[in-house]
This record gives sequence, C-alpha cells and structure tokens, in this order.
Amino acid sequence: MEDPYKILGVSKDASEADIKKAYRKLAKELHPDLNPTDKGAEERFKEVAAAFGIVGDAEKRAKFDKGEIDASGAERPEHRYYKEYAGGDQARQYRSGAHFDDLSDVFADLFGHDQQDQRSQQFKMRGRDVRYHLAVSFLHAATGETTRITLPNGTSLDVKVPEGVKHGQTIRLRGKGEPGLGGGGDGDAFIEIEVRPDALFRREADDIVIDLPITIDEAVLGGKVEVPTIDGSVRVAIPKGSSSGQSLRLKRKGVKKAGGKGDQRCILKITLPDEMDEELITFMEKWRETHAYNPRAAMGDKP
Amino acid sequence: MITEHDVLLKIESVTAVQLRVWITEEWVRPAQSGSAVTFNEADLARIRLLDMLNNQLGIDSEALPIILSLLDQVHDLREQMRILCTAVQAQPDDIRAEILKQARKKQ
Repeated sequence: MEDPYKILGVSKDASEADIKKAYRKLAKELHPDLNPTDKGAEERFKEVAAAFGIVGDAEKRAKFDKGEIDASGAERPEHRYYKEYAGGDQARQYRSGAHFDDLSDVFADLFGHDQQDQRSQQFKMRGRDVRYHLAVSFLHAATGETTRITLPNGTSLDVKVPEGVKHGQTIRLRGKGEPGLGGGGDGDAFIEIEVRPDALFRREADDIVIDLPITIDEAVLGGKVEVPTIDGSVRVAIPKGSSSGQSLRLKRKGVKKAGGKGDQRCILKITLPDEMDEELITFMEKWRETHAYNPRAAMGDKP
Repeated sequence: MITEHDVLLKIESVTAVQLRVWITEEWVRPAQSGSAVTFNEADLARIRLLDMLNNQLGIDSEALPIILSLLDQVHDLREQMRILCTAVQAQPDDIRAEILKQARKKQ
C-alpha cells in the first residue's frame, strides 16, 4: 500500500482533527453506497479506509511513524455493501414505493402515454411490503397447516403454510402488506418460515428419515413393528436377518414434492435389552463357539 | 437468522440504544418475530451504512433520513432501469438498435 498520509492527502504532521476531516471528506466522496455505480470509487475507498485505519488511530500512527509497522495488512475485513442487497429480495422492506406505474415522467414517452393524462392523475403509491418471521413445528411444516399470526398493529393474518415447506422459505401473501395510497395497490406480506427440528423425524430433500430401534429377536427372526410417519403410524415388516444401519424405505411416506411425494427411510438400530439375562449370555457364549463370523472382513485383517 | 445481540457483536461501534432508535425511526426495518425482531443480511449491511454515515462521517439525525430516502429512491430507480433494460434486451435486434439511436439523440 502507498503512504497512508499521501492517500488521505495530509502532511505527516497533520493534527488528529485534520486527518479525521480529510478522511470524512474522502469517505463522503468515495463510499461505495454513496457511489453505487462507480467501481473506481470502491477501490479508492478501500485504500482510504485502510490508510485511516493506521493514521486515524493515535497508537497505530505512532508505531507507523517510528517504522514499527508498515502500511500493509491494514485492510479492513471485507463487508458487503448495502448496495449489493438494495433492489433484491432481502431489501424489499426498504423500497420507497416508486414503482413502474409511477415513473410517468421518465417513461411516459416510451410507452406512448398522453402526458396530459398522466399529469392529471392524482398521486398514487403502492403500499409498503412487510416481512414477518414464523416458526412452525417440523410436523406442521411437513403436512401443512393454517396459522393465524398477530401483527404489530393488532390485526391478524391467516397464513396457509404449504405442505412440505422448507426451512428458510418465504411465503408471499399478495396485498397483505401496508395499504396503498390513492388507488395504488397494497403491499405484500413476506413470511419467512423457520422449521423447528423434531426429536424423531429428520428431513433429507423430500425424504423423511428416522432411526428405528429394533430388538435382537426382531433383527434375527424378522417381525412387524409400528413405525411413526408424518401422517400417523403404519405397520412395517422387518425382514429376517436385518442389521443396524440398513434402511427400510416406505414409499410415498415423505414430504410432498412436484409430481408426488418423497419416501420415508427408517434406519434400523438393533438395541439390546436394558438388562442382559443369564439365558441370553449363556446362549451367546455357546453360539459363538460354533458360529463365529467376521463382519469386519472388508476392513482388512486387523482385529 | 440474526438477532439484535448478533448485530451489536458484529458492529462494535453501534450501541443498543442507537440501534433501537434506528428501528423506531424505521431507518432499519427488521422482521417482526413475536416480540423480538430478526435481521437479514440486507438489514445488517444497512446498519453498517448507517454506522458509517452517523458515527464515522458525522451526519446527524436530521440529515440522515433525507439521505436514506434519496438512497432508497436511487436504488428503486436502478431496479426499475434494470427491469426496463431487460425488457429492451428481449426485443429483436432492429428495435434495440432503433431505441439506442433515439436514446443517443437525446443525450
């Protein structure tokens, strides 16, 4: 980096106040949010901010003057400027309400409107969009529900949470924002959905995944067990000789998706009884003598 | 989801009182979530901008809303221009050439 004094346009013996003044003047000229179209200004602003980071701080300035630190490495952490969000979805709440219909002065000619006609129209403004945050349970998100939320102004709004809504998804309710003026349309309400995690169910794309504990005898002999799904429990057959980690796929028991539904996958987990009885232990000891097997064969010959 | 606490941690030079004032004045418009508010990335960048204007550049609370209002209008216009440009780009070549010719005449 160049000499920070030179960048700020001050002399080496400038007072703290002079340096601050020079910085403010340059920042007002160059700050990227005040010059959204000027790429050169953004680069220069970075330099100015870094220079001020050194000589605008009495301690660092002293060190710099003594040659203990140099001008490099003073760049500030990069933040994204507001202009990068402005006009985008995340900055809807800052729209000033000037919409296409209202730019009559600029675009009237282009669209062949009668200038007189436009002028005589009364002032029209679209209502502001509003944003809300709504937390829903995992199950309600999966199956959909209608929830009533109360707005800060005391009115309430029915929000239909669509089946299979994802965490972070935004629902748009047309015309549910602030009212428009002079016949301008009402703003929209944007509701960001937070899906609360569930103790039992997880979601992977459109599939629902659960861990399904089974007993040793169910694993060996097979059996029928009750399995919860997002729309009630179903009886599922555990095949003979099931291992932990294998998964059973229940077709169309997942979350709604375009053209159908995802599946539910049940990951089997063989679970021993809380207390091991003598009979089981004795049986296993005997069984091991004649039926030893190695499920780790694929890992190589290490024990 | 960014809470008020997160904002104050990320941007040290902004105080809790200041942030509340900015929200009351609607210079920052976080989403309502029950009694609390949550911020998104755009809100955060806007708070950084307010910090720069108010705390670093010494623009006082009287001038600030004027600047913000003009800034928001500039961004709206830019957005509308983008929409218009996209519409022009979708036209056949000869129409685009004609629009360009007429626009240059006026400049």
